[in-house]
Amino acid sequence: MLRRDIAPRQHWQALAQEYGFNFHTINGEPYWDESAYYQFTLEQVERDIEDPTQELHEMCLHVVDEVVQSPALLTDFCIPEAFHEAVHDAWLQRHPSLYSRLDLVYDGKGPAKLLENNADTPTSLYESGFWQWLWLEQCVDGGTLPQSADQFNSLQEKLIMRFRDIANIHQQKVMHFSCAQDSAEDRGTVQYLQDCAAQAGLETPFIFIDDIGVTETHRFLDLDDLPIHSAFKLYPWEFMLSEEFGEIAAYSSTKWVEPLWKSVLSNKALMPLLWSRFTGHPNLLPSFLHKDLDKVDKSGKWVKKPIFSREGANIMIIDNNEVVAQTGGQYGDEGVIFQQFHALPKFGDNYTLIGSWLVNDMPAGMSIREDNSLITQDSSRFVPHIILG
Amino acid sequence: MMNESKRTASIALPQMRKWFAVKPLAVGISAIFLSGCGEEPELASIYTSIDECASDNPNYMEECTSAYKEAKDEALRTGPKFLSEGDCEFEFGQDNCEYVSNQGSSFFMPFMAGYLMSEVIDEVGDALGKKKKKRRYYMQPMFTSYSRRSSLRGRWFNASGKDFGSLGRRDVKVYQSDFKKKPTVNRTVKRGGFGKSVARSSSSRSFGG
Repeated sequence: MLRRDIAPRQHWQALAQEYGFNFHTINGEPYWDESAYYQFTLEQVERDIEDPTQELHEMCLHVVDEVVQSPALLTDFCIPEAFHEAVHDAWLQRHPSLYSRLDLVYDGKGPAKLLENNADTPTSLYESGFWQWLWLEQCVDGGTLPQSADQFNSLQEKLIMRFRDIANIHQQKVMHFSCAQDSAEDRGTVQYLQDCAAQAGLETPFIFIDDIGVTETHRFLDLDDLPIHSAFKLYPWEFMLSEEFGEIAAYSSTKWVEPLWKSVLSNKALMPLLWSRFTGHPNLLPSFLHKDLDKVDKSGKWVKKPIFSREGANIMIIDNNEVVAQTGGQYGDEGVIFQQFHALPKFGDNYTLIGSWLVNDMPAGMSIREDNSLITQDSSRFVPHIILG
Repeated sequence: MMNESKRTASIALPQMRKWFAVKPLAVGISAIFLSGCGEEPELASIYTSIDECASDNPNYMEECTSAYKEAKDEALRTGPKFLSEGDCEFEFGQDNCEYVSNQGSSFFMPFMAGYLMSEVIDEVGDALGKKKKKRRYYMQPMFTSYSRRSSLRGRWFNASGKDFGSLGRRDVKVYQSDFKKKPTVNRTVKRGGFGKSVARSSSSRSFGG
């Protein structure tokens, strides 16, 4: 695993405009960074990323199966009692899932360590599935990278196939797509998924989440007052459940993607459960729920994370009870977990985090983000990768 | 020997381009569909030149000329843009693209094939409360494709890809509601029950992860 410098493609910004990639620079700061790339061997990708991703995913599902059947565990996961039955049913009825991203610490040798499972609303999908694919294609065509350079990235073809499957399972040719307003990044991610779904033959109307309507008979409608039978939402389940339409959504006939059981799979309380069920697994870090903290040896370095935190918000690094780093944000009221600190590898001035993608149950690609800080936040940069040798 | 590739073998690039993504229209003369034209259809005409417009409207040479110029500007601002001539011709047909350099960037664009012009009469109250009629003109640049690969071949369409009929047609009806079709439904619909967890901000960052 190497970090190599490379000349950015000329006119890549104009190309981004042509393809509608309009969040490559965010608030004036670069987000897409093609002045460098990471190089992996095929063995590193297959042995250290792809295979563990498959195994970790299966372990996670094993834990989900246990949690949905236990009111006590669902409560540890901060899922309100009113939704326990709905979560349980969504899992038992196997409501189909689309995709997720495991965040892994990996430095090229030794086992990758799972930090968290972004299984409900993962972003950076367009950059991973399409934009870094196009970057490699053009660098190979332009001769700046060798013909034999490959990439761990079958995201787009797998997403298209999965949309076809979901349309069959739902028996719906129309899937609505939705996200919150005011985020170009979220809208771009959803647009990408609309493109993939359209290539799978679906109709893909878009509606902002706060425009969704509900009838007196609890049917969800779009702005044309047409029924929403099937909907992809890039909007966290824990937000939805805490909002006015939450209960209607959980028990409605509308089929949501991601499905409601992803509120368990994407929950950070999953990490302590994984550790207790698969203690010592090489790809796991010791983790504990807040309530179990007095049972463990707190010496050494730990990371405190809110159960619902996103984009690296409200994370605290604690060394022998001293706070050594922390980030701000508005999460944490719901509860926290503790996870043993495992430093991100450093390449130059950059701390590097691996995102390992799954489409449904299949490992499907990899993305890399760099930050100047040990805690990867939404200020991080996306850097492409290749496989060589 | 080559290993089996670990990446998607091919991606349909033309389908990934976003030149029909909805772009904000400039306010003023171009904002035809966002203006207060209500649900009544407005008649509009498509002209391929200033002369054509002026011969239909002999007393309005000035309006025809300024609408043409505004449409050209609008085409440059909102029209489809490509980095390579080949990609542009793939969508719009051979010899239907020009090289354009604007504000430091350069690209290929299809020629503006015509412009849509409509007259809107607003009723404006004057100082004595008397209603006065005021004429205004609206325009939009129109494009067409000669490419066999395009579903819009031989059609008039605007910068957001809306189809205005075949090239043979010159008089078209335009509605404000063309862009938001809302059939009347007699039931109560409540909206705004999602989205409150997200604090409004000007940030473009994600609420995902």
